[in-house]
Amino acid sequence: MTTFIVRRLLICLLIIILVSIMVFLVMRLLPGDPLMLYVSRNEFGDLKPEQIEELRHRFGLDQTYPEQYFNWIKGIFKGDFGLSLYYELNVAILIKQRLPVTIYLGVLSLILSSIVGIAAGTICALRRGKWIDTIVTFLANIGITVPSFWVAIILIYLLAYKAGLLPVYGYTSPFTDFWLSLRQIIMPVICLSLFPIAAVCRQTRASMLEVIQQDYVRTAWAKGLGERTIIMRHTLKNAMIPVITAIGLHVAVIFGGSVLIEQIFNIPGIGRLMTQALFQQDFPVVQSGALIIAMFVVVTNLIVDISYGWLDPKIRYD
Amino acid sequence: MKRLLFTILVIAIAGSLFISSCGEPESTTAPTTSPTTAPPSTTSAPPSPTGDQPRYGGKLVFITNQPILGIGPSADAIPWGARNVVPVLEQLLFQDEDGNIVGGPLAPSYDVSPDGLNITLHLREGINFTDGTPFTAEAVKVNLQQCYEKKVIGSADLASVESYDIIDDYTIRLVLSKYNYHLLQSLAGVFIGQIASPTALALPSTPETLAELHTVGTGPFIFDSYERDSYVRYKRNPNYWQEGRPYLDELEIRTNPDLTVTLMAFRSGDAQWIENIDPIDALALQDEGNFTDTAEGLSFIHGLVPDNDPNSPLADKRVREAIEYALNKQEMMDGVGKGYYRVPSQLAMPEYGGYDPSLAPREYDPEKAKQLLADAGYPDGLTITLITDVSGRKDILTAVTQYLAESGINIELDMADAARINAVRTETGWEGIFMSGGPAISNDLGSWRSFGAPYNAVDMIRRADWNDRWDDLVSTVDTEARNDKWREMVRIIYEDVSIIPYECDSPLYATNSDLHDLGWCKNGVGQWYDCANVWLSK
Repeated sequence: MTTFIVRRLLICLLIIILVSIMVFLVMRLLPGDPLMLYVSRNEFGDLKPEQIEELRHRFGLDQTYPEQYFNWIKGIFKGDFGLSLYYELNVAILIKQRLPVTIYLGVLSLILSSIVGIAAGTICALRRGKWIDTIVTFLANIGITVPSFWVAIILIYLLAYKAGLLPVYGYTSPFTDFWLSLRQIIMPVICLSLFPIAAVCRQTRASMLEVIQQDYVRTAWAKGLGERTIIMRHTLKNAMIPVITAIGLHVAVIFGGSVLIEQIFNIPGIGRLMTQALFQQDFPVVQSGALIIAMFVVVTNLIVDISYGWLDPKIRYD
Repeated sequence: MKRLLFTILVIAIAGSLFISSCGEPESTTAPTTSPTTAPPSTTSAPPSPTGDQPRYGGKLVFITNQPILGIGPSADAIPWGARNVVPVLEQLLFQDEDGNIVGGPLAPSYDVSPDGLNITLHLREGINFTDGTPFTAEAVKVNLQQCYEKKVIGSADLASVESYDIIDDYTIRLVLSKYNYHLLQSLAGVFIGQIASPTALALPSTPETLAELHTVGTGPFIFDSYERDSYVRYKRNPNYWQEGRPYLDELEIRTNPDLTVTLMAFRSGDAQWIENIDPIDALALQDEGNFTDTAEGLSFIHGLVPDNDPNSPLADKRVREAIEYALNKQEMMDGVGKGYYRVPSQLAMPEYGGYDPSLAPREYDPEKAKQLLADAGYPDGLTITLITDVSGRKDILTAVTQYLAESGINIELDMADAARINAVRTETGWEGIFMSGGPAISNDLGSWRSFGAPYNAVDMIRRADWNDRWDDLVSTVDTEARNDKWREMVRIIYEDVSIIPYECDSPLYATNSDLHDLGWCKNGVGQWYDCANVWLSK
């Protein structure tokens, strides 16, 4: 198991390095000079060429691409993610402010989608062919297809504008005002969770259907064990392996979906930060944000892989 | 049975979607190009409650689509921060409705020497910043010097200041090497004209603490809290120098780039004031009983800028004229602007100092456009590249390309993002026509730098003496003489067809019936809104 973990960690590292190189290069291949954007926002229009070069040096844009890349990587190990051209602030400060918000949103979505998705999928599998199976499957299919930003607008229209039950948009830290935070987070979490709920539900249903047809489950029924015991002790764990994989993959989906949701609900998370940085060609922010998201995704998938061993002792990585 | 139930469910859902889509069309944010018949009547300002007395109390929430990148004084060079600190930091000077620079809250009067080399500001006496620091000439000097050092927007005009002479506590003289009208405009603008406490500015700070420590002014509000890209909150200054002001307890500025969500927030009562709304939404809000208007004293002219390549088809003036005659500006403004936008016939509107009434408008005449093209050697029309940026209005772009195509000028579109369009405008130049997505010329002479200065609009057609004329214009002290020169430059642009104006608009805003005396942009962009006098009836 240890060997497996070490090997996977090395692969994760390689993936992160590749992602960072790709993002780094793509940003620099985009047309336009981000320094010119910075210059136009301030009173730099009449600067002499040497003064513009000084600015270029300040933002590290006068170095070669390999130099810029390695200096950036070196800085990361010291906690320095570079200087944002758009915010004129250290990127580490921005990420420190924004990442917890997205994580908060993402964790809530993940928990909601896991609980609801697994529960719904289990019910569908146990009541296969019944009306509840039909309705939940139908809703799951809608959940897979409907765009989350559209759902966001509909929810705002119905729950906030028409019914006045929830605030239209905004984000408050739960440590500042818990109840306001709760009311503001309901709609974004629902929007972000829709696709994962639907996907997890479908996966759980399929997985459970396969497992409950196994001989040992039939034996358990024949022995007269209660439904709850059969599900919780004999069925669920075995059915969870593909479901856990799906949940792990949804971490990436949630990070990606957060871009739109944060934009609509005006949540100051990393998705919104990345969107603005991308349009402003704010290299350091985009690079650092992409790196962090990549790290989250690979680490989550590593945890998922390791969890297989716990779920099914037959699976061992030697 | 199950199949029947499922089929009924599907039909019911599909049917309800179909029926709902057949209902009365709600206003959308996708404007059409069909002309309206008459300009909308701006609703009168919300009636005051019985007794006509402003009420104390309440929290004003304003939603803007402008970012809140940071909060702090201009002297700290916060990107786009100046507008968001208006409730706390007051202006030296203002601009009146005619564009003249007049005294403001911190400098009720000023003098300019006949040769223009001395600007003397007479400051308001006996007022303090909220941290107790007295507001004096020294405070003004510290702020202006710091703005210049940090290259804040508008501070380039301070380059001509040779010294800041403190005559007494309430009189400061700016001694200039050369008169520059822009300097007065900048002092009346939200950037360098805002004055923060020098004591506060001197406090060591970090990016996290800068807002709280440095945003200290003489204004009607005190900084409370903010979240980057989210909101900023202010609370009432109980010791404000204007007695009995402000009326509000709190003021909150929120940012949201999504107009649909902003409109819903406004309609649900989450905010009393929103800005930069689309004309079609403004009409809908007006019908719902809200107040909508354009910013007083602020308008922008948008223009197409042909390149100055001598080998380009646009080098022929007849081709440039053909472009202007091909555009049905009135129909575009009616269709998109819904009566809120106006048709410019030159690079100045009637209320601008540089407006020349003798310049005959080039009215829509596609036949004349075709004739001009034929005379220029393009009887079968021609193809021209048009570069524009993604932030521009797509409906206007569509209308422009459509009208040009009808006259035989086919457009090859090149959509650029913010970084590239800026590089094109200031550095690399362009081929064909440049169409900026953002506002261009305004009645603020300072905006002419977009086209007048050598570092901007690099490929614009200019006469050899353009820069000299420009320098001479901004160095002219007398207003009438300066306006004469401004008119001359407008005439040159008209005669050379170096910029083809097609739209004059002004930022649209909406307030609900509870909000009164907002005074948005009544003093130019120097005073975005009248924080001291705005009040809520509920």
